[in-house]
Formats: sequence, structure tokens, C-alpha cells
Amino acid sequence: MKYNSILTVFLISLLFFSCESVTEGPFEHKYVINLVLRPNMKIQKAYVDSTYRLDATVPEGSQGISDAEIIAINEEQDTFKFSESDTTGIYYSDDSMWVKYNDRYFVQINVEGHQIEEEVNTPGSLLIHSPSNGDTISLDSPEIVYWNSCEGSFDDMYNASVFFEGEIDSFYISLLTQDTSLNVFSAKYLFPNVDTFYTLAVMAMDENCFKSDVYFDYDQLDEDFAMGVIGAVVLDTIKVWVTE
Amino acid sequence: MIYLFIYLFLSAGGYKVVTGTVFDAASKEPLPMVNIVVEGTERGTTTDNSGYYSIILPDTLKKVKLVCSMMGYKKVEREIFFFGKDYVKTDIAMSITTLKSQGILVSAKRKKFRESATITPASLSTDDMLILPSFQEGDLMRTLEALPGITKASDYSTDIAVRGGSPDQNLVLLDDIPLLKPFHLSGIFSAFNVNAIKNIELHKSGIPAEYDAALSSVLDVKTKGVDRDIKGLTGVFSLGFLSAGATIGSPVPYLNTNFLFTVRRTYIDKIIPDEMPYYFYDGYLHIESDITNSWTVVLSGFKSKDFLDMRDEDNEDVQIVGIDWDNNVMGVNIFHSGDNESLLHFSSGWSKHSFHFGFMDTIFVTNGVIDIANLGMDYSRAFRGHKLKFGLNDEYRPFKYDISSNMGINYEYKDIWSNRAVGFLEDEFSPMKDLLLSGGIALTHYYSESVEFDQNKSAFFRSYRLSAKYFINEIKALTISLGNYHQYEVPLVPGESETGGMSLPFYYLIPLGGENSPEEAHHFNLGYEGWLNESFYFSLEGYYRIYNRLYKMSEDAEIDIENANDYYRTMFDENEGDAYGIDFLLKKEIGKLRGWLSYTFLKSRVSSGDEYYPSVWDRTHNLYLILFAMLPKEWEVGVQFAFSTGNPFTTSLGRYRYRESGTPYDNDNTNWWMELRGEKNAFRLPSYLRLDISATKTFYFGNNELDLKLSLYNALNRKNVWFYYYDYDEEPPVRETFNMLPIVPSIEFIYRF
Repeated sequence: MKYNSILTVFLISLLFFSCESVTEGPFEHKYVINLVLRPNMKIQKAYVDSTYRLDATVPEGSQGISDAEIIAINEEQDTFKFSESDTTGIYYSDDSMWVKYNDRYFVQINVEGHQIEEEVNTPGSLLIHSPSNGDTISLDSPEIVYWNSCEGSFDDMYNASVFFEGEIDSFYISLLTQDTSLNVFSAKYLFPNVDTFYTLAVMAMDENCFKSDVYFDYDQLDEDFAMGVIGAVVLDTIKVWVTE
Repeated sequence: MIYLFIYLFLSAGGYKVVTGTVFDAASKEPLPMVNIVVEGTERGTTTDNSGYYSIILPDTLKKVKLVCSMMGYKKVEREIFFFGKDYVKTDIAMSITTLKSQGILVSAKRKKFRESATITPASLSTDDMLILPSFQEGDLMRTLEALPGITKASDYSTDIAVRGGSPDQNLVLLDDIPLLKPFHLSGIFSAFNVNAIKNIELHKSGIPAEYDAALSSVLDVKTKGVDRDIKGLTGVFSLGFLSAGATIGSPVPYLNTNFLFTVRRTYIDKIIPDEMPYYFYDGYLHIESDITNSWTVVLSGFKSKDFLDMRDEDNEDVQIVGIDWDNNVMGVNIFHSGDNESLLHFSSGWSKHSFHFGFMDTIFVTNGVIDIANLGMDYSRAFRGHKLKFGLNDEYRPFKYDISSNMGINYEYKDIWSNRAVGFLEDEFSPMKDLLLSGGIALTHYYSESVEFDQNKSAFFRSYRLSAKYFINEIKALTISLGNYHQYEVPLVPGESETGGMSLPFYYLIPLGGENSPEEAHHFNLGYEGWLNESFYFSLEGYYRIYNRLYKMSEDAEIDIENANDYYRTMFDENEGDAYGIDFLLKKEIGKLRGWLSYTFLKSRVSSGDEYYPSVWDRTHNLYLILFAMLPKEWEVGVQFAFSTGNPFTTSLGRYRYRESGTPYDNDNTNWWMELRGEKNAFRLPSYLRLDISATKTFYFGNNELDLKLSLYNALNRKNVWFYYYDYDEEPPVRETFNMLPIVPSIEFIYRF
């Protein structure tokens, strides 16, 4: 009989382990930065935003935080400032065509008394050599797309994307490769619309942008109070006419 | 002579006679001493030694109902119409009662209890699986979830976790040959057809030394043959909402052989092919032959296939998604019993899992083939009070994977293989009255090679087992066991929480090599088991497990594709873990009301760096109550009540706008909301609760029977939460719930002959 009490002791002892307390985790406010230097772009753009509580309403039309101070300094110690646009949280560079291929920049952002810094190395130039802009591609005999090797591309990776209808919000397919060529149009079933333009983009990214885009790891900044990406991308785009 | 007497009797006029033979429905042997009464009269008789009966009735009767009864057999009622005749001959089949079969099972379990130094492995009978309320049809894996120590991923999966270990840590054996994927595509149905299973044992603790290839458990499933005493064909036809099946078996006079063949297929693709272009089938074959008095050969085979062919509505030539998913097992087991005290066993088998996944024809295609070739022998013998067992086993596993896209990507890994050679020795003996001790040691040589990854490994690993059982009395005992366990291959899949409790169609099992040593765990178990009385069995076992090495797919793998070696070195994170808990089972094994109460207390953690967090299999409390009741008029009802603490999950604490870095346009404000995740698995979904009900009515048609089974899965239609997501069409976003299965009725016809 005394052994049957072992059962009872075990069951009662469970009471000591039974209670759990689950508390709501703390929401941590962070600044969210997106500043991607693009040598082939005339004007550079930056977004200064923040994280939000899930139950907080984000004002319509706002893209982030006002009154941030953004500068980029090159190796020659030239300073390039950004100014806030009409849209809250979006900033444009004051100067044009100042980001060079294969160059180094020190980016500094001051927002609400906090300073975020990052060093950026821009990759070398990247050009699609074939097909040419405006060429016609037949899905029955698709061409291989060639581009040049780009110095500074993270892991020697290239991201080739085909945008349907040439619009930025259109559906696109994207592929990673370490080659400098790709037969993106060989899958004819992916291109239901023919006799229309498609935009083809080939990109090379620095490490921050690569990890942000490929791994969706948007925490590429060193500071605990900020997240996002400060990096560089080079790309080339062409429009091609696609037929059956 | 009897017929002459009846003829003379009837010639005298004024009487009617019913005669015939009563026999065992399974063996077809005549049954003597069966009581037969004519309902509503004082008349009756008993069968003679040949099972023969004869009853004389008044001439005025147009019909009668005979009621046949005998201990250990189900009562049979048979209505007989005379249609103006004076003489009717009718044979009557009687089936063994569940009560009698329960007794046999209990007796076998008690024998095992007395003879083994470990706690009795959890077992299930075919009856349990058939009568338990089911989701569409009786399912082994769904029945297992009601046993203590088992947790499941979701209603949508038959994957099980044993004592906090992930599903890949269970070694599933089908007739001693590993079965890699014990379920059909997506995991909703397990691969085990109940009609093909003889018995199952789930070893959670004190796992024998001969099994050293999985960290958590061994599920040992044996297929069944046919009783050699049966005459002619026997079998089962079944028809459910989703599938139809057939089982046919028979003894064969040659070499005292019998066979059983089982096949099952879903048929919804035949009814609505456009909406559901998917089917699966599985088949089992079991052939057993006593080639001499001492040699027995068992051949077994299993094949299953899942096939999905989803095509573009506008263009039938375009395949949007194509999946071909195969599992195959073939095994030969040869047994030689030299005398009553020794057994020699040879086993040889081949197992294969292959998959093909294609998206948009050849845009993205991945294929995989994992083969297992297994060869082993073991010999057990009683010797001077010791039960010795030793054996050798060799398992060779080649792996082939490819991923390709017709846009120029083509990766192929075909020169990956591993070999595991094991020698083991086990001994069990009683050093003193009421004490049983057992110990075992296994020495494994593991070799793996992968040309593409440039990773080889060759090393020896030891594992040990120690168990002791102290008998408090004839029917109660205390047990203690400990041991270390290894696992040599790990799946390359995202973490369990990322797969959301679904089984992915891709299964890249990777042999560990290079700097990665096999995963290792240590088990410590302390148990108490026995019978409270003739009917109630109980077991109570506390356990603690330490995982020295666990590998999880890394989120930071270097996908430097031209350098597969870098990829291999970084594809896994090495972690640690632990689990502890208590399993309690109280089971009523005999009687018209049967069932069990199972309770599991479980805490399971894994590490990520220096931090520990609850594994997705961590459930503090799990309670199952199963009841079967045999009712009059051949009704049997089943009730299953399930309660468990909610699954741990990683909650979302906030949100931020995500913007792509690489976009070809500078006028882009495109962004989408991403969520900030909180502490990993720190939160709990609401508790899980489910009530299932079933009712089974048996109809008799001569010697055959038809079961009509009605089931209600989740009869309360409780909205158990599978996961949360946020609807961003609203501002601020609204948290929505994706629920587990709602109330699901099902009907199943099972015809036995």
C-alpha cells in the first residue's frame, strides 16, 4: 500500500511545477534607417523611420521621422548633405552625381539626439553587355544575358531580376548567381504576356545590402538603438521586347 | 444417420427442424458446447463435439430467432424463415470477443513485465486504433499522440515528438528496417495502414543497445500475417470519406506459409480532379513461412506514393506545382530457434525515400533520393541465469540531391554517403530475488563521405545502457535506467516553428561529417509500474535528458555556392538542450468499459548560443482521457478528450517598414511591414482542447461482419489556435488567428470476411 502512495506523491509534486507566468514582452523602440548609395543614381535617397507598436496607428502619408541630419563624407573629406523632402521621413542629397564606383564613404545620421555611423564601400561598375537595351527577345530562342564582373560585390554574388511590364510594383522574379551570365528568359512559362516590354536588372551589393535583401536581415547597423541598412548597390537595367 | 432420423421424424408430420454447424469465424473450426436458444420459447440445445446442432419446433412457426452464446465469443442472433419448408439447415459463425482478445494481450504484457528489466514499452492494439475516434480513419500516429510522453506539432501533422525531442529524433522501424518518412505528404495521414499492423512498441526509455541511431525514441512497428489455422481467404474492405482500402490474406499449404496484402488509396482526385489533383496510395505485403520446424522466414514490403499535379487552368501544358513523393521498404527476416532458449535472427532490408518537387515545370526543380541498405544478425540465448544477446549490423546510406532551374542554376550533390557498422552485446540477469538487471554496450564505427562538400569523417562511438527493475510484488515494480544515444544524420530544414507544424515535402537529410560529431543525448529514467488489480495497469516514469550536441539549420549559412565546403561548414549551428518530465498512464485493459488516462508533464529546452529557450515541443501539461464502451446491440462507442498547454511561440512585439536595397528605380517608396520578434518561444498559444467521439455498429452477414464507424473529430468545434498573424489591411493591424481543424465528421465502412 505504501508503494501506491508513490503515485500520490508524484502527482502532488506536479503542483509545484504547474504554475507558469507569461508576461508581455517589452516593445523596444528603434530607429529604422535605409540609406543605399547608388553610383549610377543622380540623387541619393535616405529613409529615417522608426519601429512602431503593433497597436499604434501610423499617420497616413508619413514615411518616418523629421529633422534628421544626414551627411556622407568621401575619402577626400568632401561632405555631402541630405535634406528632408516634402514627405516626412524621406531625405534627398543636396548634390548630384557625387557617389562614385569603387569608392569609400563615411555616413553619419543624427536623429533625435542619437548618432548612427557606418562606412560604405561602393562596388565597381556593372553593365549588361548583352542583350542591348530595346532588343527583342523571342521566348522560343532565348538569349543568355551577360554582364561584366563587378569588383566589391559581396561574395561575388549577382542578383538578376526580371520585372514584368517594366513597372516597379509589378511582379518580378529574382535569381542569385556567382556567374556573370544567366539565361533568365529560358523559362517561357514565366512570361505569360508576350509582345510587351520587360525590365531586366542585374545588381551587385555590398555585404549590408546583400544580407538585408537576401536574408531579410534588416539589422545591419551596429547600434542597439537603430536597425536597417546603410550600404551600396550598383545595378544596370535594360528594357527588352519579348515575343513568342 | 442423423439426417435419416430427421427425415423419419418430419415424415410423421406436425414439426419443423432447424439444424446446422456452429464454427469459429476466424479458424473455421467447429465449436462444441455452444448454447443455442430459440428466442421467446423454452426450446434450445447445445452443439456437439462436431459443432452440430438440431432443434425441433412446432409446425405453426413461420420464423424463429436463434440466439447462440458461448464464453469468449460474441453472442450471435440469427433469424430463420421457413418459407413453408419443414427443414432448414443453417451454419453459424461466431467471432472471438474483444474481452477474450484483451485477456490475451494483458497476459502477454504481464509476461513482458516479469521478464524485462526496463519499464514496459508503450504499446497499442489494432482494436485501440480502429475504435478510437479518428480523423477520417484509424491512424497509428494519431493514436500514439494519446500516450504519455508524446506531443504533436498540430492537427495538420502526424509528426510526433517524444519527451521533448524533435520528430527526426525518432527511429521508426517497419519490420526492423528504418522507414524515413512515416507519413504521407504534408503529414496529415500517417503511412501506417491499421489493417496491416500486428503490433507496435514505442521505446521511450531503456531503449535497447542495438538501437543507437536516434536520440529520442524507437517506434517498432511489425506488420501482420494471417493465422495459420484460418481456412481460405480472409480480409478487410474499407471505405472512408477520403480513401478506400482492401486487405486480403490466406494461409498457403506450401511450407506452412501465409500472406497478407494490404492496399489503400485516396479517391478524391477521381471525383474532383480539377480542384484536388492529388492522391496517395500505400501497400503492404507480408509473407511468412515456416520452412522447417526451427526456421521461419518473413518477407515484408511497403510502398507508398503521393502525387500532386497542379496545372494552369488556362494552359494544361503548364504544371504549376508537381510533387512526387515515394517511400519504399523491403525486408527479409530469418529466425532460427535452436531450442526454447536461443534465437538466431538475420535481417536484411532496403528502404528508400525519394521526392521530386517542381514549380512551373522546370523553373525550380528539386529531387532527392535517400537509400538505406541494412544487413544484420543477432543471437540471443539463455545461459546460466543470463539472457545474452549480441549482434552485428551494418547500414549503408547514399544520398542524392539536386536543385535546378532552367535559368542556369544547377547544383547536384550525388556523392554523399555514410556507413554505420554496429556491434552490440546485451545481458539481463537476476542477481537476487525480485531484482532484474540489464546492461548493454554498442560500438559503432561511423564513416561519412561527401565529395561535393569535401567533408569526410571516420570515428568510433560507444553507447551504453543500464537498467534495473525491483519487483515490489508479483505485479508492481520500480525501474531505473540510463544510457547515451547518438544520431548520425540531421535534416536540413528550417526550425520547427518556421515550418508551422507542417511536414515539408523536401527532406534533405545530411550525414554529419568533418568537424561535426554525431548528435548525442543522455537519458536518466526512474519509473514505477504495475497493476492495481486485474483490470488497471499503471506506469509512472520521471525522466531527465541532456543533449550534448544538437544541430539546427543555421540562419547564417554562407551560401557561397561555388564553395560547397563553406556552405557545409556553416549550414548547422551546434546547440545543446535538455528535457525533463513525468509520464503517467492509468489504463483499464479488460472489461466492457476500457480506456486510459495519460498525463505528461514536460519541459524541453534548446540552446542558441549561451541562451536557452523552450523548444517548440515543450508542453507543460498534457492530458488525454480515452474511453471505449461495448454497448448492447453490437454498438461500441469511443470518446477521446485531449488537453494540453499551448505551443510555445515567438510573439511579435512591433513592426517596421522594410525596404529592399536593390531596386532599379529611384522613385521607389515601396515598402512593406515586417514584424519585430520577441524572445524566442517565450509565449504560449492558448491551451489546446479537443473532444472526439465515435460510435461503431457491427452488423453480421452470415460469417462476415460489417463495421459502420461514425466519428466526430473536435466535436465541440473548439477553435484551437495553430498560429497568429496580422492583417495589415487595417490600421493599426489586427491580430488574426489561424485555427487547427474544426469539427470534422467522418464515416467509415469496414467489411471483414
